[in-house]
Amino acid sequence: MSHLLEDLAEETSVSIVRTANRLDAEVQDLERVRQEPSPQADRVKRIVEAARQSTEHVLSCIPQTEGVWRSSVAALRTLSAPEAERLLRQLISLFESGLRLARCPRRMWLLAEPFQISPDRLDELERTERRFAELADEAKAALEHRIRGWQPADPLRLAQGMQQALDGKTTRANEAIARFRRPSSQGLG
Amino acid sequence: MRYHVEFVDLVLDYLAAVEGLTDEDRAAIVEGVSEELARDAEHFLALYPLAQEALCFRYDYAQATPTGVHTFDFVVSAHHLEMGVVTVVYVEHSVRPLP
Repeated sequence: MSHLLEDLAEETSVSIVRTANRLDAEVQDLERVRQEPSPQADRVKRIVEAARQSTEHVLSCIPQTEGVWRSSVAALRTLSAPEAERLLRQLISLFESGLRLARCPRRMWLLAEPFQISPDRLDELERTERRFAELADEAKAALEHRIRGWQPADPLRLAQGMQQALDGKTTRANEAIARFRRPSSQGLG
Repeated sequence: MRYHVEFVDLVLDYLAAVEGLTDEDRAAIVEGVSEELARDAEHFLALYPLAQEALCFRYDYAQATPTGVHTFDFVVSAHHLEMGVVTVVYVEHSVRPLP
């Protein structure tokens, strides 16, 4: 299962990198087109068409990426430590590639701005970019947690807390909130 | 699925003793932690399991106050996750003064 998920993440990542490379090349081509002596209407049409097509494509990548992330999170608990680390590294690569891809349409829309063309679906593009960045940060934090092997500063207090949980010495969340928030609260001490 | 969140007494005693917080701050921390764990405990267990306790996970929470940014590292037991309950069993704290 881990190999399948790793392969899915890798395939998605490779596809996204390839698309980002293609869109990078298109942006450079459009920069050249923008300065051509051809009629302005033709140049604008070319830029806007490319920006619209790339916007549509980038927005369609998020559901697929979210699917890979959900499946991976569900599987992480069943994987060995090396398998989980490998998968997380693959996911980081996928999300960082996605972030690069998500920035391409905006670069195209910027080229259309001097012609008084407003970008389409800018909010969705910004949300997509933010989501790729969030996913990359989350996968990096999870990988770092596993590599560093976090230890509590006070292992004895952790053991005592575990024992209190076993003994049922617990307070429900709403009661804990009420104890701190009660009128003229003196704290718990 | 939403989980029921509980706190062991040691954790609440620790929070009560943290200097530079008001009781309203403490209530807000417990509320914020409970809300996030109720919603996403399984997600955190998958991403941040403790190497030494496979059914526990680390969870951090930050609270800004006029005295600084307080960061709390919690350990949460998911031993009763299947029954829809998670228990906060440990906390440690650090504070970074505001610039």
